Amino acid sequence: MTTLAEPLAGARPAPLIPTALLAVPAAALALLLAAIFSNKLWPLDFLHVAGGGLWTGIDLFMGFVVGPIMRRLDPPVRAAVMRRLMPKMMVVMPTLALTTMTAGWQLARKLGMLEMPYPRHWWLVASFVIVAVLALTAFAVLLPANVGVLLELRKEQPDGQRIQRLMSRYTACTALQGCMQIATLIVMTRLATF
Amino acid sequence: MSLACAATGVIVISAYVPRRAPLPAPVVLVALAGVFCVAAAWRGRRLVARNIARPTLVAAAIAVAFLELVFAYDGTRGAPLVLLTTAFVLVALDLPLLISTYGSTT
Repeated sequence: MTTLAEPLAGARPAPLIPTALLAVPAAALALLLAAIFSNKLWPLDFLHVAGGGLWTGIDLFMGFVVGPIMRRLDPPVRAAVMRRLMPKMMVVMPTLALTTMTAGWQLARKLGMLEMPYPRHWWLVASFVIVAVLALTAFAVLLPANVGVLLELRKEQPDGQRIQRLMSRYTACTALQGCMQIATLIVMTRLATF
Repeated sequence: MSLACAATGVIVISAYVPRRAPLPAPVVLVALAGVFCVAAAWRGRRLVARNIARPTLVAAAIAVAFLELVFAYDGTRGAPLVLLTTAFVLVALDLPLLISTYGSTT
């Protein structure tokens, strides 16, 4: 059996997020900038709908499918999945959220939705509140839990109980996110059909 | 708490766009966000993991720069823009603090 070479003493640990993965948000944000400055309906609509669809789809899938499955996996298998899944989630989800929100705001401005009179304007305000809840839970709970789990898994003796605690919070939050995403679908389809 | 106050302030201002929002509530919310941010920074000053905080700060700064861009590009000016900018800066400072200290306190 081949023995792997020992890492050099004082060698820097690998980054939490592989550098190559950063090309994804870089490309998405470049497209977003182009769409904002073009001020054209199609690119803004595309980024908002595609970004929102992916954000919603991934949140629902993670909350209602992957989360329950992960809870039933053996700890070593769960750890192996998390090591590969979390870095990608840490890059993809904030990028989708930012793209969707920013393109959505510009789209609403372009379509004249920001001038919508009350009481219909409350639907727009509801969308702001839902997005704020999504963003707050994502950045204040999910992302820190992601980082905490990844850092713990890199240790020689990871604390299983601490990982369990962080992952319980993570899966509970993804379920909340899933419910918020369903609320988003209701609000967005209402706004689109006024 | 700081994130929640800053986000609520942004929502209040955004809900009035393109009109000018009444400013007392957003001013109070952003001020509270600032107080909570300073308190969190003081509490977590010895727990911050710099290798996590630095890249998070860069990512947060890029994200809030985009949000700032759309409001400025759309013609938001004066006190509402100042309040929005302050709220976004607080968010950009809160996130690395929260993420880099989370592991030490959980």
